[in-house]
Amino acid sequence: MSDFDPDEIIQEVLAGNKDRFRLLVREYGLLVRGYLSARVYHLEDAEDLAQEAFLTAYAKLSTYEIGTNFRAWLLTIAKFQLSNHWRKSSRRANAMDKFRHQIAETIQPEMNKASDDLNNLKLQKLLHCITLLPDRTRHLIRAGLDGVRMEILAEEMSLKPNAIYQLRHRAHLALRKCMEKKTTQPAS
Amino acid sequence: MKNLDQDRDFLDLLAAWHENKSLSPARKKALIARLENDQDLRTELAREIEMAGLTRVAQAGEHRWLELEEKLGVAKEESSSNFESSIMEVLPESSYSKQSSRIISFPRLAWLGLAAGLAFLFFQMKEKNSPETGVAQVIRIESEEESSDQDRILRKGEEFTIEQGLVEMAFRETGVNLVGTGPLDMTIMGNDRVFLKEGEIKLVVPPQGIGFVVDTMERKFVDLGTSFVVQANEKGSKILVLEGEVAVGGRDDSPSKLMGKGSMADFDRNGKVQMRGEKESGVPELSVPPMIQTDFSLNGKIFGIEKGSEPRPKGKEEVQEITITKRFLPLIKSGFKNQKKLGQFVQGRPLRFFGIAGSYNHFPENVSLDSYSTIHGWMAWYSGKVKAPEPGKYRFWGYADNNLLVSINGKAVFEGSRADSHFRNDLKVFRNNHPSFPCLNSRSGFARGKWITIGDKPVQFDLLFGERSENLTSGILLIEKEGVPYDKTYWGQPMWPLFLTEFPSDAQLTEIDQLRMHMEENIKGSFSVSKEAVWKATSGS
Repeated sequence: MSDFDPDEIIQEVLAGNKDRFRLLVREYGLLVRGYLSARVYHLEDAEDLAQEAFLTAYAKLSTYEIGTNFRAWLLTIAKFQLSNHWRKSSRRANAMDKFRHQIAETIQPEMNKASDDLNNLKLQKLLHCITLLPDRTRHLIRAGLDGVRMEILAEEMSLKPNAIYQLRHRAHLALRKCMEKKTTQPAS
Repeated sequence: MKNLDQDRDFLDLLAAWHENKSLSPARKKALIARLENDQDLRTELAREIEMAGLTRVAQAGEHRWLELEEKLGVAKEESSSNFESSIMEVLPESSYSKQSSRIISFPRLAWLGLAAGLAFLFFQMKEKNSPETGVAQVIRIESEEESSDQDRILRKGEEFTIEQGLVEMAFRETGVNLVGTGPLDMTIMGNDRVFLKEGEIKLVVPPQGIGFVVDTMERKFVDLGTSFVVQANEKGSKILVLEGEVAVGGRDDSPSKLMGKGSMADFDRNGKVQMRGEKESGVPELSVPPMIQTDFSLNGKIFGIEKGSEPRPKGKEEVQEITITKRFLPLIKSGFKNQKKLGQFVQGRPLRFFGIAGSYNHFPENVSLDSYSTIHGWMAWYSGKVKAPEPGKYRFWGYADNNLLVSINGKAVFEGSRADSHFRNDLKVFRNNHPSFPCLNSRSGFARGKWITIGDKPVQFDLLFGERSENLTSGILLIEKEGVPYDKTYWGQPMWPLFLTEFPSDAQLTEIDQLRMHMEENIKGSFSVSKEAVWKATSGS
């Protein structure tokens, strides 16, 4: 179990030691960024929204009720930033954006559950688990981040685009399994 | 829980979510219906999307949140990274206090500059105070096993290897930040140079580090103030430019080539180079589909001047005189009848028309226009009978860098070439520029022609599109029908459809959609693709 106590940190920040807020950013940064990145198409937008979420949390920290769930409070702020972003961007949303919103709405309860299932301990293991993936799979995971389109990647890896999604899905299953383990072992 | 990785609906939903895969309205409806009724599918899709988001940010590294940094002030506690902390620790307390109050009020760039200065100062001070004289220091190691490399000082000529995991290091004099992933094998050649034998490294180079060099077996990559990734293995090396520019040259100091943001290139051990996703103009290049001609396709040819057949021009003025563009003027002026001079050109494989959209930097090589002289440029000519979707008044919109011309029944009706094009200056076809309608890389916006009346019979259609010299080519050609209420972007530009003679395949649509998104995001321009706007070819040329 993590012995990280956000309430203690929050009290220090509220007492004037604002540098301590960095601890909260470090502890919950990946959670918030991951939450937003899963729901926003462009990574840059997700990063901007995550910063906004932490800025809002910092500004409103005095309204947080000590003893309740800081993680949930922070995610509520992130959700608010996200719905604001969707509202603003809907004016120029194209057909695919709209379809993506439709999917998101349909699976919203499941997505909330998926993010609730992730605790910080699991998240901390993620990067390590990625390093344990086989080279080919790791390349596949990285390629998405580097902006390589699936068609190009499929060609490069001599696979059909659907096979790329299958592989990536299997890689994610392996990562989830690795993150669930008490001690990290090779993911696949 | 069902195993869904063979499930076509699941894969299509992922493709739509991650890659904007174009789907018909009926297919979208069917997918949403399945989602609504299938708990397993909803759960697995949610988990997959959640994990994809996490892996994206986990690998993107720590993001610099400048607004938050400004709000919180300069880090000085355990919560900051080792690197930041170590800088602050060596500064005298009094100077830190003074600096920090100033920093908060600085604009962001000044803040960054000061941070780089402080880093430089730190290394200078540490250099004096410490017996260590290394050029770089390991500041982070993430590995499955315990590593003794944490905080290791690396000296000139020293080799650094890791089997797996991740390492982050900072170069002392240049402030260059290097993140490497294992298996990694590299040698520190000096303050401003590394040799990468195997592995992947990402570099972020601050202004004082400009000129930092990464050598691989195949190439020398010289940073020009940027962030980039280099991979190397036994087959060759690869570079991806994330920000700024990188000069890529041979190991023998042969002339280098500049690569800009988003450019990617592979170099194999035999010297073969493959540029991918190169964005000199920032415009994506669509892949070239199979060019098998049919009676129902608009067919064409591509021409160039044989390499070595003519002396190389000196200077821009001479290029303007010898370019292939000028040699097509007699053909256009004759209503596309005078084809005598075409025999002098070399040709690529026969073409099939799939619209004009995006970059065409690699088009000649993709359609086998081999051994042509790039300095003389190239020209594609599509010709055949086409039938408008319905009788009425039409006009063309578009732009090309360099040359674009449309002719109907032998008469030029649209010219959308660059300002210095012979098509534009010698033919004087009516044209109106619309700077308020952004178009690919044209500052003057979309060009448009006059309304033309088309009846219900097929017309002779000729289209010329090409490059004046070298190979930085892009273009787009759209068609408007009078009276059609086109959707508009929120900045008011009608989304005219691409001029097409056959409707694109799903794969082509996906790429076209990427191009459209590029326009919308980067230049606020847009277009559409419509079955109703397809002009069917009635016989190939």
